[in-house]
Amino acid sequence: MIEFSDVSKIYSNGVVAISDVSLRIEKGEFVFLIGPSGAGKTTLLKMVFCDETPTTGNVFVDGRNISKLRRSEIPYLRRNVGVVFQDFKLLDDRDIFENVGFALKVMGFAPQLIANQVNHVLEQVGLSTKKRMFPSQLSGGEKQRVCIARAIVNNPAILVTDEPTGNLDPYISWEIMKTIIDINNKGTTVIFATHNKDLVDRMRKRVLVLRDGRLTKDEPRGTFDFEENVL
Amino acid sequence: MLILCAIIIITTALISLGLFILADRAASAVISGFENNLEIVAFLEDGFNASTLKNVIIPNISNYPEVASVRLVTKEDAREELKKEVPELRDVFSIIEENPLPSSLRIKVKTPDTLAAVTDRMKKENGLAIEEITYGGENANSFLKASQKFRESSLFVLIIFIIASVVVIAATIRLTVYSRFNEIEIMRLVGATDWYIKWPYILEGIFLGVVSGALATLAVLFIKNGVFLELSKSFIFLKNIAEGVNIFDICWKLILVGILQGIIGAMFSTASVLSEKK
Repeated sequence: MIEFSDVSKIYSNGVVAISDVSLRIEKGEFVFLIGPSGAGKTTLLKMVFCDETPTTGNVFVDGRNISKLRRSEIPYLRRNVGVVFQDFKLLDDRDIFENVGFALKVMGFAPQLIANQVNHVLEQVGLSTKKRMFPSQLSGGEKQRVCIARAIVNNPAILVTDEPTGNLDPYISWEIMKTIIDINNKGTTVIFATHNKDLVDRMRKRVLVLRDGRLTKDEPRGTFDFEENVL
Repeated sequence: MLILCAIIIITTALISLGLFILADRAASAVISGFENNLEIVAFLEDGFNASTLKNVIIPNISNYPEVASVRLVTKEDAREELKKEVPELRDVFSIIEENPLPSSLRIKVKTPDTLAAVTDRMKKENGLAIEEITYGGENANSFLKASQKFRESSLFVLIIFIIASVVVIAATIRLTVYSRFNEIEIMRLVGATDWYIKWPYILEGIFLGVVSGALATLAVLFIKNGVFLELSKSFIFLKNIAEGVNIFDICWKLILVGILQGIIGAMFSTASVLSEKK
């Protein structure tokens, strides 16, 4: 369970990224996070894995106030939150297997366990035949699936995706969507920030709308709609 | 290229440290030589009362807690000593009938800093029988002061060198850290601890320290065997230094200081980069 309680974020340059947001996401839920560019979506996502901390208010994950975590505790929170970025953030000098296994290696897993787990997730995202290829040899969609594989390789409870289909064509976007839905069906909580209207409208999942840092809409089976309907 | 510059600067600092150790050993040897030879020479008037000297004055001085030994050197003993030290004077002594050399008491003290106090006490208590008291205290004191000044100023320069080395190591490693910023960013996001991220850079710092320490040891070895041995032909006390200094004793100190510089430099550079992000 993720809970934002009266959360605001004001950057040092005075920009208000998040303003007085309160929301609750249940364990295993799938949530779309939409809104125009600069609405605060990325800042809100970053607060889930402590890459940003609220200026005021609190963020709770599984009942624990992560806004108050000590620096040394943050890595252990992040091991339970998979993150997928629009720009992939892959290591170009390592092959797919090493990129995905990197997350487990950092956690100190044994090589055999890493191999088993990486092979398993690469199978899950449909890339088991390309595990010895390098990122530069893959298409955008394949790179994004590598990124998803890395995010879920240690079975995190939460998957945060920041516009994962942003640079992909509609067909590939749907492939990515299906992969993430599969992950969600296995019990992982998913927060999916996107500008992709087609995906949101077809899925009819819960939709959170952010505008100018404020949560303006929260619909259980929403559509891609920015209309003013302030909560 | 940057690593090469770092190694050169660290090596220079460590060579300075090695030379400082060598110079310190040389100064200590000279001081130690002074200390071992320092004695109070109390010249006695001709016709002194031998009985008073043997039964009263010598036992009295021997009982001073600061005194290590008291030795009576008679006129004859003094002549024989001089003949041994300056063989050319043998002929002179065969010509002159009367021995012009005075008898003396040679008093060695346990620590050089008590020389003046013992001398004063001897003058007060035994003045009647003692004509003159001399010791090399003034020379010794001025050398002690000079060597102390040398140590302080060398230490100051050395500290500056070591700080400069740490800054250079930090700057070198910082560039490496920035060149791998993407990898560090990913490490952080997948849950790497700060220590997991820092370790490779600390090892890099240790590597720089070990290589620089080894190079500095070679340079100091060359200076010790070449320069010191050559100088020892003119300055005899340097001979003992050149032959007596254990190069391994200096080697491990230089490598240890190099490693510490590497670790501190790496810690500074990684801490400043990591502190930019949580």
